[in-house]
Amino acid sequence: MNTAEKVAALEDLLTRVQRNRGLPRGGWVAAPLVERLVDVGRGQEAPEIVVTGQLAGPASELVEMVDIRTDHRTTPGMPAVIPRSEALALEPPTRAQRTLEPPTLEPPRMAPVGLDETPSSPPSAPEIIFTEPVDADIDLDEELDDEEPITLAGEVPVPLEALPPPDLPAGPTQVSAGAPSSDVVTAKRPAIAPPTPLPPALPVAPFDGSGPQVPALPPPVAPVSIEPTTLQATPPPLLVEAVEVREREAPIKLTPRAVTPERLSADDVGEFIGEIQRLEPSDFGGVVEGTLALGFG
Amino acid sequence: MSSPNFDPSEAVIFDLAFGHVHLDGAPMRVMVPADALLALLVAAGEEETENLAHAVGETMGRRVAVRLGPDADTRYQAVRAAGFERVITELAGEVALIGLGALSAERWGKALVFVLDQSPLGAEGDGFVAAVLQAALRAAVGKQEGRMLSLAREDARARYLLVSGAVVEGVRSRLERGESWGAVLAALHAGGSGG
Repeated sequence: MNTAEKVAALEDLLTRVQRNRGLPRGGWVAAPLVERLVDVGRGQEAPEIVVTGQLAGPASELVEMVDIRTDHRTTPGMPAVIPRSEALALEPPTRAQRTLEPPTLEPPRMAPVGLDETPSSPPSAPEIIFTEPVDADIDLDEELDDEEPITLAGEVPVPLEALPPPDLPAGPTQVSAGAPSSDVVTAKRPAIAPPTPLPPALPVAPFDGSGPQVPALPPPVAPVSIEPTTLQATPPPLLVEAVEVREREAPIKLTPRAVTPERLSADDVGEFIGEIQRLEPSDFGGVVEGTLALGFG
Repeated sequence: MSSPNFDPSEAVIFDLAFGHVHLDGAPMRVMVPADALLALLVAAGEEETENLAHAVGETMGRRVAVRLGPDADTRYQAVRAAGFERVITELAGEVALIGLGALSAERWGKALVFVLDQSPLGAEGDGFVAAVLQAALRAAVGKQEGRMLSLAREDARARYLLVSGAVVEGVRSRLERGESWGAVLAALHAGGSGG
């Protein structure tokens, strides 16, 4: 679809819109706008921001109805959505249309400036080139309207003023050690008495193997072997033979544990034996009571 | 130390005319294979096994009490006052009559340990035997506090410990942790009123 077709299609659209909304038909749409609208309608990114100065009312309506808003920022510094005010900031249709071409800016040629140097010459102002007016459309690039001419402020180096010298004494400060401000008490170290000479060593008689008289120890007490009371019920006469055939093992005895025997005194042994004697019950009821009284600590 | 003899005369009567077996005057005893009885016990479950053991052991203890204390009013006192060896001999005779093995007893300090050799029920019947002995002791002494626990088994020899119900869980937990039964008995003497 070429531009003419796009323009025709859009004008047809506008006509129908205006007819439906009761607006008079009129105005025209710049081709770039049409292209933009078509492109936006296709879901493509708008190539640029175009502000037309023709369709005041219809254009605003068009902006609303077609919704050309996009999130893409086409120009650095420009809002992604065209504000309503921009769409309405239109020029009279009778005004001559001009297209402002972007100015050709020449970067200022600046030589490196030292700290103590000043620029040789101020930078030249950028040139703005105006092209011939176009009869048909006005493509006003907003960026150029708002852009201020680039002027480089002449930076006049300001010579550093001589700072007043610090108020310092001319020569090095002579610091003289005065008397101490605090009281210092110096105590004299007490005189150390000379070491006392040790008395001469006493003569030691050679060891003859004899020591103090110690009473002979009683013979060590043999380890006590504890045997449980094993009661073997006599089998009934009818089973005597069977018992003999089975050859039952000997009664179970308490096996002494591998513990280093302790040498107990006679009192300890006597107490232990007495404890064992106290454990001996006299009747079956006592045995049962004793085992039922057991418990963990 | 003289060992009293258990008199089993006429304890078991075989009535061949009627085909009945009487045990110490109690009729209608049935002789069944030990393996079959054990299978029935396993299938019946723990509760039913305890019930059967209670029935068996209670009659055993009652017979012991009758023999040691003919007077019904002082029967339990007579059993308690009887010598330890005497009572154990009577209980061993009862156990042998019903074919559960050879019973003896050990005293480890204050702990009363029953030893059963050659039980036909084997290790699987230890729980049943323990329940039988518990019921027999309770019936003989007239004391219901005692609990008989399976303490250890070495081949054909099983040991059972008579303790109070307060230490049952402690004994079981120590045995499950791998402590030897000797260590458990020693630990039992570390505390409690009997320690």
